[in-house]
Amino acid sequence: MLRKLVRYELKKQLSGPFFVIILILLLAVNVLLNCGIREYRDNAKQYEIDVGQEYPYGFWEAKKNERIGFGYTQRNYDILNTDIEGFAAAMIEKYGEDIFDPFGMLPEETYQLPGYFGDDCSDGSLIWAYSTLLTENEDLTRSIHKAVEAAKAYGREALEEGDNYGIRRNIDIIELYTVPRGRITSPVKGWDDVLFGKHTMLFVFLMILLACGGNFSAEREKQTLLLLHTSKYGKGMTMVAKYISSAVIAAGLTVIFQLSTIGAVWFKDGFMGLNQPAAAMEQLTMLSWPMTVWQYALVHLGCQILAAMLLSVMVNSISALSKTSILSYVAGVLVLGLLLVAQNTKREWLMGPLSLADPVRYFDSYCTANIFGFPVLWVILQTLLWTVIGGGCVYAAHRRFHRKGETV
Amino acid sequence: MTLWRYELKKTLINQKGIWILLACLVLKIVLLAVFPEQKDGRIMLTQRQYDKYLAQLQGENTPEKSDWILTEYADFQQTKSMYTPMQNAYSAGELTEEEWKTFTEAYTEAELKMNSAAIFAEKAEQFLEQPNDVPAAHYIYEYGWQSAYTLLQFPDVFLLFGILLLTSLSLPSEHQSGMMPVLLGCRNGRRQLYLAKLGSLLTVCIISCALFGGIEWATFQYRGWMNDGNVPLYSITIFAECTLDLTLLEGYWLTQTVRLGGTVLFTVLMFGLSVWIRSTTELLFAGLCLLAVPMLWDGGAMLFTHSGLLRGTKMLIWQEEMGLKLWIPVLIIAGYSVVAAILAEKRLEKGI
Repeated sequence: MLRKLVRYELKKQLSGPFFVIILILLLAVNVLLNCGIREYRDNAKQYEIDVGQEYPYGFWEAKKNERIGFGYTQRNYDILNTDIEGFAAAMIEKYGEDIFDPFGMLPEETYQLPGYFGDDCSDGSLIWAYSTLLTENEDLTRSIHKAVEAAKAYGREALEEGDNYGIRRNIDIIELYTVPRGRITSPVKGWDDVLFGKHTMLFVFLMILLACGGNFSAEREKQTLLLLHTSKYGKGMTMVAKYISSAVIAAGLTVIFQLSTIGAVWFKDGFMGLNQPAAAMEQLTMLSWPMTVWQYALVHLGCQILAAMLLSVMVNSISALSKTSILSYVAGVLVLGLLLVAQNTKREWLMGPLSLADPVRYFDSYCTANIFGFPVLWVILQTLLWTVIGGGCVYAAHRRFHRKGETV
Repeated sequence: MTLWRYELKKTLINQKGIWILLACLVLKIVLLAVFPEQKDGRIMLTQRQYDKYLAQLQGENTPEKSDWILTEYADFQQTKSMYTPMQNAYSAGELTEEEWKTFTEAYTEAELKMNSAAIFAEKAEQFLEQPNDVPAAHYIYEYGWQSAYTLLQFPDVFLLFGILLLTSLSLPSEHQSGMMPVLLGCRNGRRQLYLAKLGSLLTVCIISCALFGGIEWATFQYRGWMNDGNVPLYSITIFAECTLDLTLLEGYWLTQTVRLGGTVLFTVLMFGLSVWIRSTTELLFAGLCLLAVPMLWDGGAMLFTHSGLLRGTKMLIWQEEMGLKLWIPVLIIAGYSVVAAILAEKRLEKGI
């Protein structure tokens, strides 16, 4: 029965032409914002400032050139990874120890063909690619080493002061950061734009507001509330079905908008490095767990879906507590607006469920809260906290929705 | 005229428009009251030194003034960088007590004045990058204007939200309450109804804009943010790269006028759309999208949207960047807003 009710609610929420039009429009705007037009505009402007002439390439021509460059880079790393150790040893033997110095000039002869890998590729471009990898790996190792050393020092300090939280947290850091992260064998491109872009989830939130804002209040306005209450499965199930359908829509919208972003970024640059360590991305150098990019992308998406679902619960509850749809939407806009403003304050607890929509803040370090002397991950704490608050919202909505003698 | 009066009464009294606008006004006043002055953090450390430099430099920038402050700052930097070698020399007995005392005095002075000198040196560098064929920028206490223009770079969200709410209560509420067939059926129903409703909304919109703008101006004056209004716009950091031939005060009034026009045109467009989007909540949502989504682009093209026009400070910067006459985007926006309103009126005349 519940499944049927959920299906019915889903149909009710999604079938309006306005919803479909706005969905298509926002998807189009999302694609437009992520497909590289802005970067092209900025590049052209910068070129005009630097060179004093008009940018010589049109958008499509610039895109074509970028694609060629991207393909070339990818091919270089593919070739390099077929025998990376052998290549490094051969280059040192041929050109000397300093050949992989990132600030050094490459000798002319490195660009002669055939190179180490034959006629396809000169040594010069591969040396450049290899030294980039070398620098990235060294930087990563150095950062991790620093973190471990700092944790040891802070841990000793905490031990002297008898600070249980400090001791446990620093032991965790030492344990987590001594697990090998794996070697970076190619740069990560495109995925950072998908994972750390700011706009996509804003559109999802707006769509959730549209889809769920009038979920309960519209029933009240249309005077169908009494009918629902008196029907056989009406009382409890309708409300549950409304919440479930909204959560399904929230999850679906998150996936659809993220897919549109992936499509747009693929058009812009293409993707590289899905199987690389997530720490290869600048924002996640200090990620506490050894994950690959695709593993982190799944965790990231999971957090975003959770944020969207929790927001749908809040908006639904506002709708259940509001007398009219307009009140419900106004309250929804205010709550969403305040949460979005709070995103700039860098105080996670103020951001509500929206903090989970940009979870990189929880993963760019070992981000914990002190709960009775135990380090608890902020991401878990936020999830639990907002799930409990969401539960409270559902309870309040239940009391209001099923109030005896409710007039419609 | 009678219809317009009735509609005005309905909007303000029956639909509680006056309370909605008052609530928005209160929120706006709270924002204006708590919005902090955008002061450079370095001034807090050395306010007196900052005042002294300002007293010395205040007024039109000249090459001599710029050179003086840049040299002063470079001297302080050099003094600070010499601390370790001088200390080593003193420890090694290579400096006399007198020499060390002279150096430490110079070092203390550098420490004291460094932050303030740095602020004015940065201004001097900004001024040096400006073209020579425009009137010289001025050294002023810029943080008041800077704060005012920081606020003005966002649309007046409270006013717009209030107006949007009233617009979405106007025609859509007639639809939702089932009054529309009755109104359309009466003798002078269609065209006059449309014009009266639009007229009443525009009246409310213009009065609210004036009220909100007036309160904003009064607050800025009260907080002392609008002193030295007759200096060129590019004297303050936010407009450092914008060489529009306007004074700060002229820029402010131009911004306010364009915002008034933008708000009126936004109301016209939303009212027109309300003939097709008959649900109050959907119209509200459409209005929010129309205002919020263009703000994500942040480029000159946004001048051709209502949202772009309403972003006062950005509007001036984009206008200069694009080398456009301001009336062109205003005319284009007015064009499509009025066309939408006319089409809506035709649609309503046909009956629903």
